[in-house]
Amino acid sequence: MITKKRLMAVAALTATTAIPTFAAADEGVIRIGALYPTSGPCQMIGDFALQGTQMLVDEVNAAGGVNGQMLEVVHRDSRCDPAEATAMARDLIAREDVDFLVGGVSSSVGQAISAVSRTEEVIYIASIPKTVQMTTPENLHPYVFRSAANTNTEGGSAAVLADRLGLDRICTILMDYSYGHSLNEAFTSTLAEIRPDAEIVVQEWPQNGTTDYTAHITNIMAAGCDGVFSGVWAGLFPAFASQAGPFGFFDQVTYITAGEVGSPELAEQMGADMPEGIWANSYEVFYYPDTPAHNDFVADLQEELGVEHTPSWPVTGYVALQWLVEAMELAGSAETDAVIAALEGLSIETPIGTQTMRASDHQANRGQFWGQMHMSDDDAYPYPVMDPVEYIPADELMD
Amino acid sequence: MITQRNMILLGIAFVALALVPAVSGLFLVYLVTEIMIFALFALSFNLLLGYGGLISFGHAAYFAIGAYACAVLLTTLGWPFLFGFGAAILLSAVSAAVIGYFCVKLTEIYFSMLTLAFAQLVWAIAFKWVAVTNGDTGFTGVAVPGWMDEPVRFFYFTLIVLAVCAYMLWRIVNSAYGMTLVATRENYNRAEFIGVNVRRIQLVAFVLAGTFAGVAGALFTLFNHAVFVENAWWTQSAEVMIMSILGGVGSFVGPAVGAAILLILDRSLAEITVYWPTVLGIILLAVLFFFPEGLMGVAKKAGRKGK
Repeated sequence: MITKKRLMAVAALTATTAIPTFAAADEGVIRIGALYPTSGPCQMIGDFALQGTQMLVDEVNAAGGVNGQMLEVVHRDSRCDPAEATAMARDLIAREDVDFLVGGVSSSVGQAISAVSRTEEVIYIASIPKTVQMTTPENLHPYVFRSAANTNTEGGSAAVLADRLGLDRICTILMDYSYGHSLNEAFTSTLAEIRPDAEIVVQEWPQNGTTDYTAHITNIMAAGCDGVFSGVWAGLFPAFASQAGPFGFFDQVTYITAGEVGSPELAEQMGADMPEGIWANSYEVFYYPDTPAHNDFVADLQEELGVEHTPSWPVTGYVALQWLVEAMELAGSAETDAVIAALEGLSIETPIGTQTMRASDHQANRGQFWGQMHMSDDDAYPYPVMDPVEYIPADELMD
Repeated sequence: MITQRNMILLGIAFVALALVPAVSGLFLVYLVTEIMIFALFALSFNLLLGYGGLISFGHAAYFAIGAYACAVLLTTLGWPFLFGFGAAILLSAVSAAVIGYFCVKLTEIYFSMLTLAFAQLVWAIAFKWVAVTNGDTGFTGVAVPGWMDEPVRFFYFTLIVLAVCAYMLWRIVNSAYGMTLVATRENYNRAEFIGVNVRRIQLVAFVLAGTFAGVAGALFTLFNHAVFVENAWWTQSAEVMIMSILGGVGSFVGPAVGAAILLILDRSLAEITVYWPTVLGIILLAVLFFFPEGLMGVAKKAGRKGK
């Protein structure tokens, strides 16, 4: 039965939610809604990306803001969960009155935020989600842009490497979810184009969430391939490497892996456990390229984080917001349609070089840094580094 | 109980909810819409847990079936809204009937484990059948009909659906059937002795609960313009159980109140601390230890003391 007291309790509850902390709609401030996971399994990536975002905001504000307006970041924890990210994106728009959305880590969260940005007509810059589906014609809409690399670029870059390394019998080991399948499509189609004689011998699909790769490792070793393309990404790689290492796996095959295994934070975490000579990628590495813009960025980041050797993820948050800042400056306003028009075809100077946002599908030509992992010669940094290291551009590989 | 007073109180609650868009901003419209969807989900679940004493670990399955069916029928197949929405609910009911047929053959923990197993099967299908569900990338861009594609209108649509469903559920639990269901919960053997076909009673509860969960799922799809495999994952089943226990399974409105509290806590805690799961866990521990009948149980006791 519903008693008066119960009803009072419900009323009290309603009252507490009816007093939301409505953001003071300050005309002079541009509010950026950041959706990064700061708890749960993607926390590390989210924390770093958020720090990168904040660093750019501080820089811009110190220099007088954008068109005279200050930037302000409002963060909500997207928790690596699309339903949560949807609610939080709405929350940012409806309650915090943000002008733009940035962020996301996993593909499904990217899709979820994109869905909100479409219905709410708020620009969203996807800084990390890679799935090509976000920018394919059936899902593309005027409000979504991606500063991250996509799975086509990542898988295609690996195929370019496989071609260069002269690999003809290739096995793949990719996680059995959309990221793995998208990488596979990109890798095999690019390989068929640039190295038609190469053969895909065996394809292994470990279940997402598995911790035992033994069967997959032995299958690949028995298949007699000379190269392996892997999508065992950074979070899973240490467990995989510790199981594959004792079999002599990494000595037998040339291992090319997507999923940011070459990032300095993973290299430091793994130390000597990082297999020598594997080919891996990263969004950024503090030791390359040796350009003034990149060195300045690293120096600022060192100061911001108080560490000597900076992690790779802050650049994703930094560049995502940089797109918005430069587009607003070009447009001379923070008005949505003007910023969309400015973003389409825009080229900007990022800490890692020039980037261009394609007008056709709102995808930046973001490539990644690839290289062969070797223990560093530098005594001050006794961890594996990419050597040689290069930036594989995305221009030929995005589609 | 269906008394005039309760009818009036529910009517007042309905009117109070109906006034929300008029007196508040968009934020509260969104939040209350979400709360209403999960309130319906929790009310459907409580038919099993509270009234039937059936602990289902897989109630998310029917929510997800309703959600995915609604998305696919409206978007991929382009069905008109009423047919698509209706068929999605029907599909949840049919799935619940098929799965329930097997589950009610078992009791207690075996029943629970089987519901979990079937729910994970539903999840696996949603995850693997990429051509239809778009796998773990999520089904986005749902073709929501234009007339409801506006926050306030959708709010009222949800409110009306919730009111109709809640009323139906209320009539069900207060009917002769509802009393029989409670009798099977209280004493399985005794109910059988007096000639009740316990399995059939439980199966009907299972199908009804699945159907209303499907309604909630379809609403969820329309609300978000998207559906994700996470909606079928076991944590979603756990969440609806937490909502019910938090609010109180012994009361009809308890689970709905639990849904509201959990969502509000979830949103407000996330703003205050990144350790929200810990805080939420402590609150749940406290409820389980000190208020096992949930918050509505506490209110009920307080009400009795007051008299």
